[in-house]
Amino acid sequence: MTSPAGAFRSAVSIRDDVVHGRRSAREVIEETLARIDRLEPRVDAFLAVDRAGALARAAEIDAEVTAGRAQGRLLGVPVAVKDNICVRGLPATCASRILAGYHPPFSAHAVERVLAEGGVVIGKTNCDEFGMGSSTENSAYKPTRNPHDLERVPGGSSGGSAAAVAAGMVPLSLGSDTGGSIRQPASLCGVIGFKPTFGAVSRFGLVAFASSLDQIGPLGASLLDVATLASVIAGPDARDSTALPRPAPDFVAALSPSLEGVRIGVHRDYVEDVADAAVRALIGRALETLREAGARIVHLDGVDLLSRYAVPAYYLVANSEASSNLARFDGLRYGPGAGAPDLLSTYTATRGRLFGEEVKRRILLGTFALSSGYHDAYYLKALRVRRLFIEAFQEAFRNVDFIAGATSPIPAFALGEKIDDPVTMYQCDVLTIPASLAGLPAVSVPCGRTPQGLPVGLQIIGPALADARVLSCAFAFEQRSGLMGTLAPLAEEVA
Amino acid sequence: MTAPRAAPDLEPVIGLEVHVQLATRSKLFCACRNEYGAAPNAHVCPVCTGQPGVLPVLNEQALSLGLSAALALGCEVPASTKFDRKNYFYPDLPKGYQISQYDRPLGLGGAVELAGDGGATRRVGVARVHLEEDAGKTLHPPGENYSLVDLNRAGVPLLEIVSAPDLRSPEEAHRYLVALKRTLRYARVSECDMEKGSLRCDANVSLRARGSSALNARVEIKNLNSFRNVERALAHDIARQTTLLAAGEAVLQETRMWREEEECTAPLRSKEEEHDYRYFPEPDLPEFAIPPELVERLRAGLPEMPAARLERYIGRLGLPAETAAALAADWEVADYYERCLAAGGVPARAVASFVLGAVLQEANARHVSVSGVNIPPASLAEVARLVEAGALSHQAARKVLAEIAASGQSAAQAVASLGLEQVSDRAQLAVAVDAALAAAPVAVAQYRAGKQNALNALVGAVMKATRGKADPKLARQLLLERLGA
Amino acid sequence: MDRTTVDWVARLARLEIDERTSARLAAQLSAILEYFRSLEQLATAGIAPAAHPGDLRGSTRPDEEAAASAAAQLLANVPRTRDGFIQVPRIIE
Ligand SMILES: [Mg+2]
Ligand SMILES: [Zn+2]
Repeated sequence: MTSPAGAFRSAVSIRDDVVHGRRSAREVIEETLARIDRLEPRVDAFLAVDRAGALARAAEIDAEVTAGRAQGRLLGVPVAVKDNICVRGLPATCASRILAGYHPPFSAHAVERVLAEGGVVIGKTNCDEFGMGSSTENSAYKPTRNPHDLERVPGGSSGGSAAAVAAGMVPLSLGSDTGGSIRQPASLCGVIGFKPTFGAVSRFGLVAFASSLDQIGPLGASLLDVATLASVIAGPDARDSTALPRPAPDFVAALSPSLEGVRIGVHRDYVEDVADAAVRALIGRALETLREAGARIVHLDGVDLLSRYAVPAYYLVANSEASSNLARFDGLRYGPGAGAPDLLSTYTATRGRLFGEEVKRRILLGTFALSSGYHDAYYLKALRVRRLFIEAFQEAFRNVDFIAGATSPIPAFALGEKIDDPVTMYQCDVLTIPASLAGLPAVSVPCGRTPQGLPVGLQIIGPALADARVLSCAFAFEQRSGLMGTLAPLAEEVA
Repeated sequence: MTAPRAAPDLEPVIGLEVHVQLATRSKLFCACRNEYGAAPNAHVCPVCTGQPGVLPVLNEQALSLGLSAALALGCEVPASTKFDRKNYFYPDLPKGYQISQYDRPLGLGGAVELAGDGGATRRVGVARVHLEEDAGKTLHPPGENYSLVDLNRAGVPLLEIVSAPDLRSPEEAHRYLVALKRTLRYARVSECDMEKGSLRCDANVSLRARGSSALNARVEIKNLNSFRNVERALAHDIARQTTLLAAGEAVLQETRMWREEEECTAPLRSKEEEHDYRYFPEPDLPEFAIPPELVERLRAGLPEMPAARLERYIGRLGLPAETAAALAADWEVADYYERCLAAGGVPARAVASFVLGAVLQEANARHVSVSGVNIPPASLAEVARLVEAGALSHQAARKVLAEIAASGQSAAQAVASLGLEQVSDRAQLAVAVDAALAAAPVAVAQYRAGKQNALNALVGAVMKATRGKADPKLARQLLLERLGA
Repeated sequence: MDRTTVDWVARLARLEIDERTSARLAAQLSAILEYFRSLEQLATAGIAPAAHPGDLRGSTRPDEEAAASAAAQLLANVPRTRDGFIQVPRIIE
């Protein structure tokens, strides 16, 4: 594999350098911090940077290397972590004021795994409050900017994690995906984002938005890096009853540049009906590339993938769960809380004043959908529709190995453009939500830029548990696309 | 609305909701210790304090105990079960929801058998049995503007047992509770100690015209902290409702509190929000399969239940009904009794009277349960054998048992160290008999005049003179001989 | 969704919402629910609700106590404590 010139330093090459003593972990971390210092004021990807902690950990790693005991698949690799994923010793605000100053007393399973493989947590990245949004503008603290165009959004909710990679600040980051929150920002920022099969990665330590949809996953600028991090974090965890019980396969070992004999399903909803012409054109080219790599393109004309029902079904399921998951934020046990004379007003003042507008909107929607009298018409109806999605995909995957198409119907939009129109904002996730409802593995991989220079992502969805094959398919595409490690131009300025 | 006709035609319809804490080592969804009476917030962790990012993991023993209880109550156990969230805000509920079971509980359609008069039994339906987590405890220091929360109890496994509305009187409700507690203790699922809060009860009661199925409004009564109070509160509220209906007034559908000091029920603050619990399936927990093998293993592991034991004690051991009931009332007593019998060669009746007498007294005196009494069943059996053989009087046997409990000696050692070998030598005893006759001419005269009771006084005198060591049968025989009967 | 419904749901969810916000939310939520009505077009009678995406089976843990306790650390995050208790505004009895 050839390494492209420029700002990109792959996690795999960093790790090799550190393991073999060609560079010290300290050098790596100092360089990372220097890039963050130069780029962060323009991008605003981070809510916290753990300078001291990262340097201390680098020193430990260097001591291990000197002692000849160094090992780990991420040795010395800086990793940024979305702020709704707990890291012991660092704040976890979920970009909400209701958790200002909160320090979780434990680390998420995925973070423990990263640390066990020698990774260095460099900081916590910005996101939409509690993962609720598609632009990272719903952060209570600041919006993050798209490194490709600083006047545009990075997507969301894992916007900080995507932007940090796109700007070359870190090679890898962790995000969470409930209805597209890894894939959509990856697409808008021109990086790779992978949402594993529901249950492939433990949710322990991920602050819940919608428990039956949330998944932690990696973002990076090369498929090999992303597959490495995915391999590290996947696997069983006794602390999450919804985590799959079997060990995950080695995703890296499964990567293959060939698509011989692979059938790729193409559905109108994900290709022809895509809103933006430039996106449509790039997806068309990407499908051509897949065909050149040996894949057979199969048109799924006879299958109704129900895409037009995705957004309503998803928002009802997700927000019903969210209304319950966010009930614990009452200011009595942690968080700032709003002082009020009696119990009821303490609850309402804390929650009314410290949750952001979008969060409140969703809590209200979810509370309503679960309330007596509406439960069957909204919540149960949505769960039944969800079953139809699961079955529609099962039907489609009888004839194809993957379904490929656009990740997002539009490229990055301007900051402020959609923020006052929830329904339009919700439409951003129309192509990522179906795989979420069905719990399927899906990856977004860059497939070029629009004439305006805005990245576009190709989404590859696989059947449940086909995580390794989904990553391998994306890898084959990446190898042919020549886009591996392409960062935002701004990253090259400080290269 | 027309006023229902007055009192004599009304009958109460009562249902009970019982919560028992399961006797597990750890909590329902986390590994914190399940313990009563620790310092506040000593047994808490990220899970049971509702920290962001944590997840519940089901305690297998809680599931097993819950299933055992369902089986012991004769419930239908499903092939799989699931958990649901019950959403409401309260400071003792850290997550803002309770993980409970809504539409697919551990057990449905069981029953509790109440022994009625003259051996008849009455079946009281158990509508459902489900698992859920307990809430924390709140304290309200008088005169302060704050409340205090202790989360040690938050997450402790609870079993909720909902009766069918089959109970027809406060007294019957009381008997249901006694029988339910007995069954649950037999199944070893809970201590069922109301004082420690490991058994809690809410009651609901409505009235209806006898023979009608149309109910008046249902009143729920909370804060019932003893079986006695359940009975009293129900009686009080039935009287209250009867008066209202007799006066042509309506009974309000409401929740009332039992006020023990004032001996009345009073409405719970009406500011209480109307609840909308928004139940939905707990997304953090998938469905749990209940394999038939597990059900069979648990069923096989259940001890013989009280009703079956009672029948066996009366039918096979020939115990009087009252004695049998007293033994079967508590599994520890019954088990102790059966271990005494297992020592062999002892009469069932005699052993029963020692267990219900000396052993229970010892337990009460030391405030322990029967298993905490330091009299090995084998020793009790040995004492019973000595009595049976005429080597020890009943009175002496009690002293021996007390000595065993106190010193840990064997039966033989205790008898010897107390010098209580029974005097059954005729010559030796004759001396005491003669002395007794000489000392009580009045009693002798009364006996001769036909007053049979006077003989007992004379036997007593002999026993006293021998400090209880005399064989009472022999003493009686000698007295009769001397009196020329 | 009208203002009354918004206020009722807000009370259930323990969210303080002023009048202006309530009016705005009523309009937004109505638009969202209107849009969601498209689900009615799908026939779902007899379809089992899918609370989870896959066929997961619950697993249990053994009934064991964990040795370590994070109690002190957890209490350190509590805004107001008193004698080891969590202090909250008076619960009216
Ligand atoms: Mg209950
Ligand atoms: Zn705990």
